[in-house]
Amino acid sequence: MSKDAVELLLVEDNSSDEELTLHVLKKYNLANRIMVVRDGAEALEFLFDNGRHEVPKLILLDLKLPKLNGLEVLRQIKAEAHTRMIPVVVLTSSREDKDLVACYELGVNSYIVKPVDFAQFTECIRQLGLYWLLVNEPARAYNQQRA
Amino acid sequence: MFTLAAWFQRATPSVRYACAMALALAAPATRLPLQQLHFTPVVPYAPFMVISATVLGLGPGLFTTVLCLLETIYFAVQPVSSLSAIAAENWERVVVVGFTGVFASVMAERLKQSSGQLKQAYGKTKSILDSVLDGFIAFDVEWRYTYVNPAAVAMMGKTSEELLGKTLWEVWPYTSASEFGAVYRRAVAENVPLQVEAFYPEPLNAWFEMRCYPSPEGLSMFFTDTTARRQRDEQLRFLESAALETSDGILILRVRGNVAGGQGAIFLNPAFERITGYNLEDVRGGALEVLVTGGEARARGPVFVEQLTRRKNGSEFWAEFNFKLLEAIGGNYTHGVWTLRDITERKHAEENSRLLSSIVEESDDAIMSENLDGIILTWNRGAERMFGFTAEEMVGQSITRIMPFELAHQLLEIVDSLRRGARLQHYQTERLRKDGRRIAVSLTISPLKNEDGYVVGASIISRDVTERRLAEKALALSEERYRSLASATTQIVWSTSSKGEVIEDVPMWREFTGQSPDAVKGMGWIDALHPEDRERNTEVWLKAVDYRSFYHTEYRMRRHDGEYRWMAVHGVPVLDSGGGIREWVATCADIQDRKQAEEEIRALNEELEQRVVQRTEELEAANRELEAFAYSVSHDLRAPLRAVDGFSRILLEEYSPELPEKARHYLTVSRKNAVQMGELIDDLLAFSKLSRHPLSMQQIAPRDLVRQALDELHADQEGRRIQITVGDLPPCEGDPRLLKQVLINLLSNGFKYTRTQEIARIEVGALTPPGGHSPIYYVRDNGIGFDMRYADKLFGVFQRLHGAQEYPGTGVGLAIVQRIVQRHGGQVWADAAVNQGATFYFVLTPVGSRPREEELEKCPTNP
Repeated sequence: MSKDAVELLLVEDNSSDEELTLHVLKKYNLANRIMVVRDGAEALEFLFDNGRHEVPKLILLDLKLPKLNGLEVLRQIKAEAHTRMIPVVVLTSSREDKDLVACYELGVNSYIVKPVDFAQFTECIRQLGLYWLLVNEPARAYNQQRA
Repeated sequence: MFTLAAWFQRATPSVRYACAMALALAAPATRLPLQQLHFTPVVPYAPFMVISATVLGLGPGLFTTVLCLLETIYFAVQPVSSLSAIAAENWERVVVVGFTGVFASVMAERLKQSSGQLKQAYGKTKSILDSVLDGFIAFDVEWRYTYVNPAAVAMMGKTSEELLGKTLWEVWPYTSASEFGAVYRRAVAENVPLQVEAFYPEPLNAWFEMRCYPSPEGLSMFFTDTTARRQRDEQLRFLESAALETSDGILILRVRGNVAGGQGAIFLNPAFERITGYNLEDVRGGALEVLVTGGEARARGPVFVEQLTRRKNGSEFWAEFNFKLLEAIGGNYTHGVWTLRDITERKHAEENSRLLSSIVEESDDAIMSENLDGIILTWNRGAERMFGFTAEEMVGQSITRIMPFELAHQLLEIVDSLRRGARLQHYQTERLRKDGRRIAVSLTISPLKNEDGYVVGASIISRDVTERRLAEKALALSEERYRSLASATTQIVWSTSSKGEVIEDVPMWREFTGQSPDAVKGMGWIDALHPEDRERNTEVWLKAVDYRSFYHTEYRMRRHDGEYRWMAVHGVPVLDSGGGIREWVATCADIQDRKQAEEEIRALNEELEQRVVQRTEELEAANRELEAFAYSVSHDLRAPLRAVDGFSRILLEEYSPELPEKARHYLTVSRKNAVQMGELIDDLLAFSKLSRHPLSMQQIAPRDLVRQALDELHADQEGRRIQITVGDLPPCEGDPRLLKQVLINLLSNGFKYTRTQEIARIEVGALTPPGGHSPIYYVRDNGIGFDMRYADKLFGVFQRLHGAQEYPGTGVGLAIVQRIVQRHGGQVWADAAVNQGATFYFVLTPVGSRPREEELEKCPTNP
């Protein structure tokens, strides 16, 4: 595990949302090494590409993505042994029950609807980063085994 | 003369002597006329003396003689008139007179003596003949009756005066040619006594036994009436043959020591042996005691028993034993007689008769008998029930008692036909009950004959057919109704036999098909059916035959003009009492036009369905698009808003000191609009979701929903004075989540539009209209209300009647309310006036069954 290993993988195609999210994370100094990808394919490439085997502490996943949508990305993450244990938080504008059910069935760790109100949005991201990146203890068994 | 003589003989002697003297004195009186004739003077005395001697007897005769002698001396002998000196020449006269007188007296006496003897002998014979019981008659040679004794008089019924002197042949004309006459003549001719017994017919009608004794004087005969004896003999003969021939057993026995036991048996007839198998020896040996059980065999008095007894061969039979003592001379019973009758058949007959009479008694029909005068002889229980009179009341009474007055003549008719021996069956008439009610009866009257075959009365079986009459009337009525219905209807009404054959003419059928009567007959009607439909029709019909149920089918039938028309056929089996099919009644209705219309409708429907399918598909596609739209709305429309808000915020927070006051205000406004836009999107999504989710209907308590809604609206109530009244809310059926949303929306409206009121009053309640209709719920407030002119805009999406500045909101709340209520099949409406509060009503029943106006008098208004 290198020192500059990616802590957080943000999968977001909307640049405004990406910027706002990063703004909040940085403002509260929740993550230093953030990897941003703009679609599902990129996300999978980052996670599974040629033995890099990046294992971020958290993946923030939007559902509505170009190329591969978020649900497909989630399915593949949870299907692979070395990515299965990475906490995945779906951060989306959709309140649809259909999406909620699908995500939980695929084993999502949390599902958050992005508030329109920025104050609420800020609070939401802050708590999210605080919890998953600092409070929550990730499973390291796989990485240790590999190391 | 004889009688005079007899009289004088019985007279006293003094009378006789007086007469003798009178005669003597009378004698000289005759002298004078005789003297003139120159008779000798003594001649006149002679007759007087003879008379005296013969009539008065010896003594008076001599007395007369003496007196006449003296008179002769005195008158006829010289000297006349003196008794002296009789001249010698006159002595001869005296002697003649004296001799004559004495001779006459003596002779008269002698004659008298011999005649007395003869008389005595004759009297003796006569008294014997008179006293014998046999009849005795004597005839002279001329066959004249000379003597008839009293017994004969009695037997012949004629007095002796009628017979004596008459000939046998003239008195009894029959005799001459009969056996009697022949025997009489033979007896006389051969001069031998003969005997004959024969029957003499009218007027005697009797048997006589005649014993004839011929003599030179004629024929005398003894005879007896043997009729009685012959009858007795005959009777005995008959009795004997009867005893031998009778089918009853007879056993005669001697009574010994006051006991008539079998050992004393002296006679036993063949029938007895035939019946019992025992002969006289058996009976003497104790068979009687075996036959007649129970000690009755040793009878001391009369016995009458009926018992099941056993023959010598062991077989059993029913016997009637009858014992009687026969009285002999002296009041002692010396003999007894047993009679025995095999009554097995009678017993069986009695059994049968008992059975028959019990059948008669128990019969539901009234059974009675009457004689030819109409007098009731028997009256069974059925008759008691039917007519209300008991047997005691009716037996011996006239049958007219149960005949209505105007029908009394029927008795004569009935008796008339009975006398002819005719039997009346199903004689329909009316009779009277005791209670005066008339009943219709069907009579069967049979003549009752006596043994000689004469009609002596009648048996009457009477059946109450009142109900049947009524039923028949009803039947006739219903048949008439059927006929008129059949002729009134435009349908073809026809009937066939159980086998489907047309028997009665079916004019309506023929009129339609144009078939001739003969062509329709039997199975000919089937020719009118379309060949393709015949088999199917037969199948349907056979199934109906199996189930004995009605059938319904449709087939094409050729009309008289050759066109095949579709007919609807209904057939109904008419069942007989046994449940079998008696006949079929069917109707055929021409449904060609209907069929065509149906066909058109079907085509239309098909097209319509096609269109519906198409539309549905279109709708579904639209729905899918809408969903996709909603999805993208929720996702894509919000993201820009977040960006607007987010960056404005960042600008405000992080670059505030560098921004002028005005810039900060614009940023704030821009942020507010972004947030409001977000709310609009949320509400719009919620609204569109309502159409997409199915209702989950269940029984709900609206009161609970109100409470939950108020809980959720807690924030809206803070810092306000709100008075909430929740009335009685009847339960209903609905989707609780959605109905809660209705209440939330209505209540939050209420809170919102009462903001200006010092005390807000919110009332939740329900109206229950009469007639079992669903309750009408309402939410009322005392808020600002609205102008009813805009009521129709109230429930439109994004429609607002008040400024958003004053009363914020997206204008979707009431649209959601309406959508939810409509999805329940109900309706929502409002009643309000500006500044006078508003009331929102909703009812969850389908619109079609909404209460009518008049039932909603209490409800202020109704859209």
